[in-house]
Amino acid sequence: MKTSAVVKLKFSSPKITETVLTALKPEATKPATARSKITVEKNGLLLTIKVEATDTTALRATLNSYLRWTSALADVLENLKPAETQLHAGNPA
Amino acid sequence: MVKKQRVRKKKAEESYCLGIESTADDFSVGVSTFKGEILANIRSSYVPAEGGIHPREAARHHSEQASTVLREALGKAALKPADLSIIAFSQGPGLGPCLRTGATVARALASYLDIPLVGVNHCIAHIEIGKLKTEAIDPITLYVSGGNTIVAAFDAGRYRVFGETLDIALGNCLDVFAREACLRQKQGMPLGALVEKLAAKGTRLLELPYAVKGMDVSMSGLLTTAVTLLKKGKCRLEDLCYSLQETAFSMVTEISERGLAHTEKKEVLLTGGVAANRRLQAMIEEIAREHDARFCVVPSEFAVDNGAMIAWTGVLAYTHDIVTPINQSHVKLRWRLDEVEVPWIG
Repeated sequence: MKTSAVVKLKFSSPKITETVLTALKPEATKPATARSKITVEKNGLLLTIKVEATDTTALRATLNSYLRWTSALADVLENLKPAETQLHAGNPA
Repeated sequence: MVKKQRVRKKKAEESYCLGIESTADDFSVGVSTFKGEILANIRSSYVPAEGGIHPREAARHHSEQASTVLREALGKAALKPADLSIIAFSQGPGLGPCLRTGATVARALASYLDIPLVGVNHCIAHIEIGKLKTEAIDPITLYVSGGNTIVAAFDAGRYRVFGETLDIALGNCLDVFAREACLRQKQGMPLGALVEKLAAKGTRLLELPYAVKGMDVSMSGLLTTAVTLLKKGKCRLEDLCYSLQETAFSMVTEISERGLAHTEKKEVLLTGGVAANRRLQAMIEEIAREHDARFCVVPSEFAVDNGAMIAWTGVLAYTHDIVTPINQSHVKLRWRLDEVEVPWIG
């Protein structure tokens, strides 16, 4: 491996950090390309994504993918609670 | 898909499956009850500024739209996230970056809500939603879309492929031709529909390569010839669209008819995005009539890629003891429909 990067992301609750880790792990254990090796770990609110790649192109592509997924998951998960509250009000059943 | 070890069934009247579809250019979320009532089917399509689908850009679209589509689907179904019983997702076949986006969202929902996850084969979902919506029981199916051209029927525990394309899919053939003709895709109006509209005004049938090889078809030579004629500028676009449709549709109709004669099924189901084409519907209806079979066509809303079909197939799988552990929920880019066991039939 020639190049690497570490990204640390802080989420609003340990449950959300744990959920994001669970969702990303299958991608890390079976990456789309052999040019990148990915490790995802959590520590409390903090999610750490480590990427080692054979070249900067692969590094950038992998980081972009993980950041995009993480962003989507953060949106989805942060929205779950308001949706629950909102729908409770409109749908008492 | 893996046999489930632990089943957490809720009461039938309380059971809902949320399905996520993200194999190609659409990100869609559907909600189905365990009885097959579709409560929501929300879709957001990635429309490229030019050219075909760029997998990375489509995946970016899916990431950006996931939360909105999900919220809208739950709102339409009038459900809270906690009401969901299972999460289903299209596990393959499809474009890697797009599949992975849907899969990560599905895993996150299943994990957060602590409910089972079910990976669904996209092609089987197209067949199952067609059966649900047309009340077909055991049809021979012509599944035609931008990524697939398959004649399939159920036999001995699985859907079997009786014929398929050897190169490009029928929908892809029409889409590429449309782009070469500078037709522009609009939201809600796919390129195939534009070709169909022009074809209806065609009057002259041009000779194009007709490639049926055994039970399979080949579309690439047909497309190349049509594009070559287009570039020469000596034929009306309407005649080219008409000839392209007639030739391509005749090819898939021929293999469907042969499959129908061989299997002696009593129903013919037309499904997938190209199923919305009325000329293709007429051709398939004709062979169904000749073989005393009932012609079934999936409604347009469920012909294109949609989350409802994933939700419903997730229900079928889950209620027949299939779940996908999250740590084994890797996407399968080339997952053929005949690799999947189908315990819910027979």
